[in-house]
Amino acid sequence: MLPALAVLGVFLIGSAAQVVYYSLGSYNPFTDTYEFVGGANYARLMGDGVFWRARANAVLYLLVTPVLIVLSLVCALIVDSRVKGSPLLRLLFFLPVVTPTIVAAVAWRLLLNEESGLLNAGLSVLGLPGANWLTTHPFTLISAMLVTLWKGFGFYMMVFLAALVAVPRELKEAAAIDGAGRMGTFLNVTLPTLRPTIVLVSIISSISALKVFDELFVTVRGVPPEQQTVVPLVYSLAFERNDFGLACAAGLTLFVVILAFSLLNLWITRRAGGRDA
Amino acid sequence: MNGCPAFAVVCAIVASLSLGSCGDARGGSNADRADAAVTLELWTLSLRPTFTDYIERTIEGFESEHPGVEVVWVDVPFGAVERKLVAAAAAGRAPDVINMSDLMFARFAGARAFAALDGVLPGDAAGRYHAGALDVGRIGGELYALPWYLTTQTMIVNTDLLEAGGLTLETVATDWPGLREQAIDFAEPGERSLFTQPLGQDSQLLMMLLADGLPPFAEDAGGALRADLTRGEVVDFIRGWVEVYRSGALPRAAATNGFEHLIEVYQNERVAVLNTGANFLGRVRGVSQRVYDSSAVLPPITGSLGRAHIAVMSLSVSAQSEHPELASALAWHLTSPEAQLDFCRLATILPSTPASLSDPFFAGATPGELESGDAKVAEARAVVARALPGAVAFTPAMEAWPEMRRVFEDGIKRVLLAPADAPGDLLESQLASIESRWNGLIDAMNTARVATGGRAATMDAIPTPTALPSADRAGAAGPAR
Repeated sequence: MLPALAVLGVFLIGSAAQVVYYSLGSYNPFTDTYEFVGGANYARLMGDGVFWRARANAVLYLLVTPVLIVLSLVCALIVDSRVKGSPLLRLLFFLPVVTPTIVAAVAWRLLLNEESGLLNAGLSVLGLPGANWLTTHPFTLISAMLVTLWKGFGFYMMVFLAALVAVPRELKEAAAIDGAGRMGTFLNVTLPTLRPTIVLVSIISSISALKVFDELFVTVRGVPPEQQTVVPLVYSLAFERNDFGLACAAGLTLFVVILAFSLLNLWITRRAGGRDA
Repeated sequence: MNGCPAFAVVCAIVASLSLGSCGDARGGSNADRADAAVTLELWTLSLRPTFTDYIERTIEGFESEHPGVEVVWVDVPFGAVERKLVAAAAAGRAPDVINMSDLMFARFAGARAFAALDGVLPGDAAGRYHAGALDVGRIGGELYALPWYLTTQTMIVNTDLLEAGGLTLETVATDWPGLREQAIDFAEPGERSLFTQPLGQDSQLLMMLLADGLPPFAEDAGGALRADLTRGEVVDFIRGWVEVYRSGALPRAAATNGFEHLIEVYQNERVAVLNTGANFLGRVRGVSQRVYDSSAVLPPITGSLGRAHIAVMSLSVSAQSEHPELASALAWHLTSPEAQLDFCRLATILPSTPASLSDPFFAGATPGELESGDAKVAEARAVVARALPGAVAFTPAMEAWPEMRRVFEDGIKRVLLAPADAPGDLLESQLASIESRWNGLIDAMNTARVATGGRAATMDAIPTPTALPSADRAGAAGPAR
């Protein structure tokens, strides 16, 4: 217990306390000076329209979560069905996970290029208008979401695959004997058994979505700040503007949102679980 | 009870890691440092591996002149230096000598990251460096940076693409208003543009305003510096650029991708004309020989003052350095005319020391270049070297300038990327908003200066040179078209 506490104390609690401390002051690392300003940084944030837009964008980014869950679950079911070539499919689905985000984002930038990208060219062939994927809100968010989806679904597919192994075979067989079709078996046996995993994936992917940085930083870098989410804003405040107090305050407000969101998620799930029971 | 020994082990590991990291702060092995009385750490930007031999050779020269001093060289990626410097400073381990670009230098100077160099330099800086380049390092009257290598622009033209659009080297405009006019007819949106310039990210608009003799500043009745972005001629100048961008004549990336989109669109033969550093030509050769072969070099496009802009790479001494005099001597050594001339022989850059420019190397192609039949880079070098004496660093020497640039860039991006049905006065309202925020930043900067015994900024901080006489302009003695 004590070793764990020591490690947590140094690397987690100590760091977190330092962030709270900096958020209440004005800190200059070059002169190592700190001036306590109380809640002034939080007041500045609350009065900053760009910060609220960034928070709204972060919440919008949560739309990626249900798509990610459905996509990864479908892929897991395909691979689990042991159709011909499923080992190869598993490999292909997992490949984006091990691709560095920067590489993926650069490749997506080429695909999404508004003037020479394949996506707009494809839309044009279909007689549809192209979009400004890399410069105009909300397409900028959608572009980053595409990278998140592409990068993430393979990982969550593996999580679902592990959970599918745990679905009792006898329950599936009983459902089949009772005349449930494949869809019926899935809806009445597989899906309820997967509920804890879906909750886990939902929480993890939601937190990741709220904290998204790499995809936005590389794919749509250069757009006005109100088109970004909170973490790129925190980065900009700290490392491009040397405003560490404001950056820490913004980071802490994001932490509160994530905490509240996770607790809400858990509460809803437990209530649903209790009702099922 | 069982936890106590384990806790002690964890504490010992943490303590040893902390002590170990302190000990290795300057880099190099313990054995190396045992022999050196003083260790200096030097950070450069993205010079390894291309210039490893040169930097190591130059450092060896310094070490041989300063027995007992060891220089540990760390090369940092350009895009990572700001956060690495912040992290190092927060740990109390900022490097002794730091390489910065003019776009980032002032922000750190404003945070008091650097030591003042007046009085600790081994010689007279004013007599050694290009005056305009030296001024970039002078904030509030104090010198915080020595200019190292410089770049000025040259006009690079893809002649094949130019001809495909119905223009030739003889008919293409060589000033911005002319180019903007020709760009409308030349453009095939999504296919080709006559030229591009970073307008939003890394915006060149402020530099071009200054180069056109239109400083976006003025003095109030009391002589205090104020933003002046809503003046009619400034608004009209910016509107000209906004309109050409929004017409689709320029690549969309001109608003968001900054300098990095230049090479991408040029090498992909989507843009015919660039006004950029001569070093760019070498990069083009590296990625597309065909585009390089069809490229021609012309004198730089300047504003109405006829003066090219100088981008300055500088060297500063950290305020945390325990050996500021030795660190200053290292910066002085690296920026010596001899060292810079050697550096220029390896890269298409210019020296900040006018004495180096008298070398025949800057007059034209070397025998080796003539022998290889490839004198294009040498031609570009000669063009920018001819432009240098009249060139100016159109970079206001104010610690608030990087933040003011950022505020401007955010605002102008909103205008450039606004939907077609945006209000007609969007530009005016954004410029008014930027002006108001600039004045707030100027006030905050002056308050901080006065609090530390400095003086408030005046128009002296803004480069407002006179127009260059026609005979002295870069194009006057440029290569024949």
